[in-house]
Amino acid sequence: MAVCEGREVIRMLVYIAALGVMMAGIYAITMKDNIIKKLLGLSVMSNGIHVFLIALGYREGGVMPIMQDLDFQRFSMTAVDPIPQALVMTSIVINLSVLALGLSISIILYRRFGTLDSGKIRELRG
Amino acid sequence: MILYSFFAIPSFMATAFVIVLVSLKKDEYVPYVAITGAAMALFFSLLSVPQVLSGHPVTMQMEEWIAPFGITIFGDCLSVFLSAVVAMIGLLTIVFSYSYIRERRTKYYALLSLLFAGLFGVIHTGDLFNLFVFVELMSIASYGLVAFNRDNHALEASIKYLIIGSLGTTFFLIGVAFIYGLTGSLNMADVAGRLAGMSGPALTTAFAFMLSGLAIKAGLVPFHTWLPDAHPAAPSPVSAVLSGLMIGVSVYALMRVGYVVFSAPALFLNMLLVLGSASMLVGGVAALRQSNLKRMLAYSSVSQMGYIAFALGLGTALGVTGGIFHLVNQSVIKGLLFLCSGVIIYNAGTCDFDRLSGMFSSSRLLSFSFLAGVLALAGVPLSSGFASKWLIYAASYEVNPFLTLLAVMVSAITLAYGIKAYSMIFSRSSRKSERISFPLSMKIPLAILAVIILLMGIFPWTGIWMSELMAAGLDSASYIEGVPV
Repeated sequence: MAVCEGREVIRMLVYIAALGVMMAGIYAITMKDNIIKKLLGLSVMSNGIHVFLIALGYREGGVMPIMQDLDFQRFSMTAVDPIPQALVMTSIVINLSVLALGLSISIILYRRFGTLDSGKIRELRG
Repeated sequence: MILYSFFAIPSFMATAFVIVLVSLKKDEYVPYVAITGAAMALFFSLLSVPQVLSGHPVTMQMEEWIAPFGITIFGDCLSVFLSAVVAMIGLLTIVFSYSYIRERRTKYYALLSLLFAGLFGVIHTGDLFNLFVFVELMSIASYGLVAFNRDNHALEASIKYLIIGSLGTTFFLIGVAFIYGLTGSLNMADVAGRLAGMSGPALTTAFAFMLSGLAIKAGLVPFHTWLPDAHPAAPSPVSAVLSGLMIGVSVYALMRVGYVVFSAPALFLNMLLVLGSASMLVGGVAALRQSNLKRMLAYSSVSQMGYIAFALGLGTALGVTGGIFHLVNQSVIKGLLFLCSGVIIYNAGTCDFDRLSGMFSSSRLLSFSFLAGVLALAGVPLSSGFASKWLIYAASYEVNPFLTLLAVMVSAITLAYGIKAYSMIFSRSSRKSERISFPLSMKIPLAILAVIILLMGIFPWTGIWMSELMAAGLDSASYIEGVPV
């Protein structure tokens, strides 16, 4: 019983860690002036959600959700929840494209203005 | 059963792909491919109108995976009518772009097609995570399109839009993660069934994250700061799509999630009422102070989104009907007005009121359609906006007469800035007007949209009947029944 409770605490710690990562991302987006740091904040924040999603699908002693023989009974008893993993894969790809687009706009911005400070760019744009 | 309007999504996705392929061979064919794709989407959307008119929703399962495991495609009057409106305005803006966009056409049309694929996806999907994916698809395409002009304003607006917009979609994803943790399902009908009778802090957190994420996308005050920068910075046909369709579709997602998945709790209605009233007032007052036509129209979009959120927040059947009717009306009106601003930029190269004074008084079609748009925006009788605003006034009077007073007051403000813009651009008194001309591909969309506004104004009953059918789609119980689990 005590062991079980210990595991619950660990599970809770994962949730708290995910929340902390999300908060760090939100801090970077709202407080930092540098556009690259803001974009990194976005990335960090979504990684926090990914940790949270993966933790949701966690199961004690679970195995990879790959069905080798069509044994649904055993699959549902042993495998971890595959849906959050699929969601995280999709979300990673989406984040990658947002990050790539944001960074390429940042490159043009830097060439144009010579700075990446969002406040200065706002003043300079005319 | 096959829902035909679903095929608007793959037809636009295929269009984006074919555009890039065709451009490798011959660049001039690109606009024709885009027009064909849009016409196909309109055809499919209209084809499925008879499918849903009976009031029974039509659903499809992707890849034969039964609900709630596979992705559900859901079609009722709300989604099919809305997709017909989106397809029609989409086709007209793509036709308009034919002579407006002269360079880098491949990138422009490919991104615009992806944006439309995202819009149709949001309209049709019955799955929460799939909704997130399509919202991201339309958003990423629009970030690129806002930066399309590559001038200083466009780049700054685009990066700002990208950061705030991604924050919004990320918030929505947090909400989806919470919902999955609570119910173990992502299918909207299944989730709605499981959430009934559930309560607690986790549910409220999920709800708050999802709705603030979608409110950022819909440009409601205080989440609107990106909108007045991003919408004017884009090329005019894109502004028409962003202001006319994209924020409208975001409000559609907001009401599907709030009304259907969460079955309209009091918190949701009150939040919409507060956000809507604030948006109405702030957007209207800010629009009055602008000296640039497109920026004024962007603030006006904030104000009109406020009207829709306000009407939906009233929570009565009449309010929901009025809100949905106004959603359709504002799509047509904003499409028309931004296309007018496109004609003005095409001829004068600018949209600042100071430099436009009286320049366009000789163009009858432009001044007529601009006036029709402005009057409909303010809800003047015999224009399409009258019936929808009247429904909103009537619905708010039943709830609280002070709300009606607010709504009428903002309509007066709308009329004031509309007439101000009209007289600045078209008055004869000032400078001698120049001979202006614009090609037929720009005239046709303006004429069609202006005629729609007038017809809707003269025969409001068709619109009201349509919106009543659409409003039935927000009933949570019938939505759950519509998806065979």
